[in-house]
Amino acid sequence: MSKDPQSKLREAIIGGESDIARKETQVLMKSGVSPIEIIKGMGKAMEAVGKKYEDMEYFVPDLVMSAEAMNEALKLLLPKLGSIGSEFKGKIVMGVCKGDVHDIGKNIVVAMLRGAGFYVVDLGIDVSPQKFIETVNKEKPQIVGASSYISTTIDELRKLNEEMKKAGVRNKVKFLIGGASVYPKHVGDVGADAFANDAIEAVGVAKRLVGG
Amino acid sequence: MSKLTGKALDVEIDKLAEQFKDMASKEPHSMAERFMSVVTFQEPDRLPVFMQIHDHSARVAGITVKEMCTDTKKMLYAQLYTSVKYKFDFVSTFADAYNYEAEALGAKMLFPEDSFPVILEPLIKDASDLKKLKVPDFTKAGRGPYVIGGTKLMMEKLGDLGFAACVASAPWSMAIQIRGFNNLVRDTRKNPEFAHKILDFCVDVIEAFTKAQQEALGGAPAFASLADAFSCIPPTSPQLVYDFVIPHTAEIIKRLGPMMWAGGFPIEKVPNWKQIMEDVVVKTGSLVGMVVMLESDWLPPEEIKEMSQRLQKPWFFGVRAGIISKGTPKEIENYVKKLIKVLAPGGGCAVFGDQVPRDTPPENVQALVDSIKKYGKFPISIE
Repeated sequence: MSKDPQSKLREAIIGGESDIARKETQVLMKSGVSPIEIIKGMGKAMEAVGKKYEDMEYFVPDLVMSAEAMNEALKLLLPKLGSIGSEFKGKIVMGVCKGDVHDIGKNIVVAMLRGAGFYVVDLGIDVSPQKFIETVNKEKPQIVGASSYISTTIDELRKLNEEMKKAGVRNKVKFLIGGASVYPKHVGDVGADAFANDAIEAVGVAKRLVGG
Repeated sequence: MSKLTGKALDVEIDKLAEQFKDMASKEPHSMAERFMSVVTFQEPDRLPVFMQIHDHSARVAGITVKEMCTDTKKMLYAQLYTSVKYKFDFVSTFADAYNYEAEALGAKMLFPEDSFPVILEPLIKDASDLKKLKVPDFTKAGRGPYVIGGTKLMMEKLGDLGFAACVASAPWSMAIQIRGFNNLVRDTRKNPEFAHKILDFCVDVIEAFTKAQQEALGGAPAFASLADAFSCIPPTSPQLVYDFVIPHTAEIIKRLGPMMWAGGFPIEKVPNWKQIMEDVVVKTGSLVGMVVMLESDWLPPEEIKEMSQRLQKPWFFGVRAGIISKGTPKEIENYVKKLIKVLAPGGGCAVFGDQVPRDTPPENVQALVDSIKKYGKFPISIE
């Protein structure tokens, strides 16, 4: 018996198959399944991916491919969502800090958060504090997430915190930091609210920060 | 930006070189002698003291990371300054080791003022791009002259007391730099033949780069190593290590002769970790095995000692990065003492500082150096 498109999509995301993920998403959309239902299904797939990573059955390359597959599907779904409603656990503005262009980890975090039901505005790499602040004012997220891969750009996380304070937005968001060069001790140094060691942990921390 | 330029910079380099030579000449063994003793399972006077400390060096020497990464003399000044300040045995002559090959091939680079340079976009966007790439002449291309000139200048200044290390990326890490991580991982799944072609090209480039460094030293003894952090596990999977990393690393080692490969090993406790560690060293023919840890002590040093002795392969054990940057000097001393007690007797193992972060308290770096010197004296006698 052939599998249903929802199962095929789930398997495509777990297996990191972008082409199949895109195709099955199109099939589901054509058959009238709502975008939010499709995203919920993808979330379960990303949970399975996270579990495989925790069990050391999966490694970073597997996470990257699954994240790519999920993002391919989301490209089709996000424009159809319309206004952001209560279906989402929360909204997060996310980016790699200024001076840093390493985004492998950030991309995995974005995919895991989306899979966990967060609406994520991904600002990409080398993001200035001004860009973060503009986006916070526009999108009104509950969380700002910023990463630093190299130790020399940790100062940029501190600057971002200061600039958000000056712009009067810091008290409106929780500030989550992470990245290869960032450790728990930097939460205090930078003035952030929380730290996540990896994408799996980021989901739990984000849920806690929004009270979920 | 440092005001130290021109003649004043030359004078400072000479002054520091003299201080280093004065310090090193009072010791019974040089860095090269200590290193050779350890890797041949003999006992030198004490363990060698060396570490990866690049951006911290710029900080303590008062120059920007950009200056260190673009100006040969400033790089040497910063490394000499750091070696003299902390009393290392080794003067490093490289900084951002993973970028040189891609830059020489024409990759667009960003040089931030106080951060390591980064490659802005992969050179190989599709198969046709690989065909356009040619092995560069490293005496002219990119920062080839900066790297080659730095090692040559260091050896001119330090003579027999210097220890030349020719450093290049290993094939997997270089392939990531020219193709991009996601693209290369996708290639390994969808088009493995193309992934192998990229890695074959990387082997040719690395061979040329290493030979250019060795030739510039005019036959002076040099230790060659391949930097390959991207191939460690879990950033890479065991399957990729076996299928793509090991074969091409073995090929470059076959071409260039004995050299150390710093890659392929687990940095977290993954299933079958011991077999993987053994395989990456044995199957590639790397001169030395290596292990580093980040935050947790998941790997008992006894296991490494056993493997080193059984395989008769020397192993370098990186002091846990988290303790260097965040521990107290006393914690660092106790940790190093414990490692040396297990690893050092009988030779074959050394401990080193792995990726000392820029903001590491200087007293921690000093504690690391002093502890290796204090407890690493042969015969090892630690209660």
